[in-house]
Amino acid sequence: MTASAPDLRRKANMTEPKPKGELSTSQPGIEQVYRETRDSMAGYLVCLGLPASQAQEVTQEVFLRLHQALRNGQKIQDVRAWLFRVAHNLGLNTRARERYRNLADPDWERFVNPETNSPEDTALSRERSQLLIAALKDLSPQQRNCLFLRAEGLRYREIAEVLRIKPSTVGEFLTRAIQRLTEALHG
Amino acid sequence: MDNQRHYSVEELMGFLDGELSAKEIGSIDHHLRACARCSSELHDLRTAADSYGHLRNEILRNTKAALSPWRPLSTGAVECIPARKLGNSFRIWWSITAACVLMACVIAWLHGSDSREMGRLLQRAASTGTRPVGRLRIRTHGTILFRPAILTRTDESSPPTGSLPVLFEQAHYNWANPLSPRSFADWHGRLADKQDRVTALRDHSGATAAFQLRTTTRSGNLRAVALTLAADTLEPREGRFDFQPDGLVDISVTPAEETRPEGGPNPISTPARAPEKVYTASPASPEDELRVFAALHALGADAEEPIEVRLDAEKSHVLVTGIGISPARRKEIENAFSSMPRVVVAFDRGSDSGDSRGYRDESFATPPPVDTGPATSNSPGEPLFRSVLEMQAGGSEKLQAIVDSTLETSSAALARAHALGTLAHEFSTPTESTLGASRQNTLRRIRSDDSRALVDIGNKLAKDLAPFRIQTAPREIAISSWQAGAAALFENTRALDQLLNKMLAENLSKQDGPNAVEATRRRLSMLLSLASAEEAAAQ
Repeated sequence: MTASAPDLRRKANMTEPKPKGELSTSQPGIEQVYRETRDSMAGYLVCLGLPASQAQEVTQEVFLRLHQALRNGQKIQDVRAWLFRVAHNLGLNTRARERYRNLADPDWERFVNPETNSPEDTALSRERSQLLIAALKDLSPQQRNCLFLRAEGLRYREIAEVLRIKPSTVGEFLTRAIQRLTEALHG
Repeated sequence: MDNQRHYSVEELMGFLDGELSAKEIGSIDHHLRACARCSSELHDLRTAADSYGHLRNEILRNTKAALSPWRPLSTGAVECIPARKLGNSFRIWWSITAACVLMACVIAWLHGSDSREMGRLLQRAASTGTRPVGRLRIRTHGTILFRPAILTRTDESSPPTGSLPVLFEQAHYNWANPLSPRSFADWHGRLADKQDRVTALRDHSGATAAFQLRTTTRSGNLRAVALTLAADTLEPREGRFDFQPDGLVDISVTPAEETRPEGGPNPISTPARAPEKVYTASPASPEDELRVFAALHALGADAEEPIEVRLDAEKSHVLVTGIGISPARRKEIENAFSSMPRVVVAFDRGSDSGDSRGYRDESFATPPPVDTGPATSNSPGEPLFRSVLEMQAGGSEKLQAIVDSTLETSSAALARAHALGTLAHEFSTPTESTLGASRQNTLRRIRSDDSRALVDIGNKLAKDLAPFRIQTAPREIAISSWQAGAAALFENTRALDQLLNKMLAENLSKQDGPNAVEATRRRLSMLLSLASAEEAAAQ
């Protein structure tokens, strides 16, 4: 019973299975991928600054495009990376089109969880979350995007595919982002 | 540590996310065992990443609460698509709808077939008139209670079962005889909205040992019941009741003697006995622990995965904890233990604290430094041993391939030796002697598998290292006990692993190289000797 590979430890918060690998219209898997990914994708789009209703609409459109792509014979090697890339692009386009530019950052404060056990816990939790949110706001958009996508369970290679950057750059962005969060938490 | 550099934040981040090569991971893992600074830095990174993870979960929770109910792709998504899309996409959604309707028909047919099979089994079970005998072991929220299989009005020996009777009553489920097929059928018959599944559970030989009847519903406080019946007699064996929001209640039939305190009379016949004595949960035994090890071994999860097995503080349960196990694997492991008494699988516990490598017990937690031969001592300008290795391997690319393969194999050896060492630690000679004959055989089988695997791994290492003229010379050695042999084997494998890392992944000087080769040869020979001795001892 030993831990030899640290990749087993990452993303402990992820509970939903991730769609991965090739998919085709002949498989009855789209509905399942949709069920497993839609909440996570909507959450990501909210992080990009879309209101929840818009995020939901975009998520559904992403799956429409998936079906369309498969039907046109497009080979999709990594479904998860493909889905998030389309979601990312559609999300940004939607935000621009709908004049949500002034909502570049979501209203992070409303995510601070007030439901904790004791008043002390509440205070600590709120303080911690607020420090975290302040640090998040200071990150560059790309650093933030890397962080969001990492939390959705994407590997560096997949994040690179979504954001059209090099995997090594993803590593750099993530390192800086996590370092900033560390500094914020440690005061 | 003096001869090693500290790792950069980028490298530690890559390590945390599993984005490095096996070789790099191995090197950092070794480094972290001895370097408090890098360990602390890694801890900070993990804490920050986890903190964001919590916030992300909060965002997700908040988002989900704000969303309208998702429409299935088959029926509703079209309505959400902007009008400009509708014309182009109508046919697509129509084809999705058709496919989903077809799929729904197949699923409905399959469910229907399960319902029919369930009805048939319940009818047969009821007609045989079999009733659960002995006593019931009830586990809920970590508490274990025992009670007669069937409660009667005059039964005064029923234990304090808290709110359980109320929960069952609210669900219209017969608490007096909860494992009876008739009770299940009565509850099942009242449900308007339900899904049935029948699963044949097989034993090691592949024969059907039991049937599990599982019904889920979206109404009421009892959302799912899984009743297991013996395949041959259709006698009820166990049931799992999922109450919302109160949690799971596991009930199994247990021999009456299991519920008695040692040497005490049967509580069924002594209703006057004080409840706290009668209903004491039986403590976990070495046999329970061995069952867990055997199950993990059968799943291939005892060596390669970060899973830990230990007794809880009260020594009443065997705790199986793990770090970063994938949901699918977690489920597989949980299923393997779902019917085992006194076993608690808690993957979330222990994942946030302690040594992330899983070396938790003291004998393995902070291994003392071992003699791994010469220290790295090259100075600028000094010729490197790597050039010698390159020449022997036939070029730098070939050397790199050998290095990658060797270090990976060495990690596998370390994992296997640790698994065997853990077994030796948990089953000392006195503990082993308390096991029954069949359990001793199980233990022997696991030991045999592990030691044979180590011999194979050792031979592979020897083959990989052949270009460097490392010729092993295993010899027959005597070990005082298999436990002592396993401990020595772990120490030796760890030292070998460190040596290999030093020889292949560091810049040894030409002067130090031959000494490292010789030390590696000795350690590898010893690994083969000890593993063979362990294998022989397990016969």
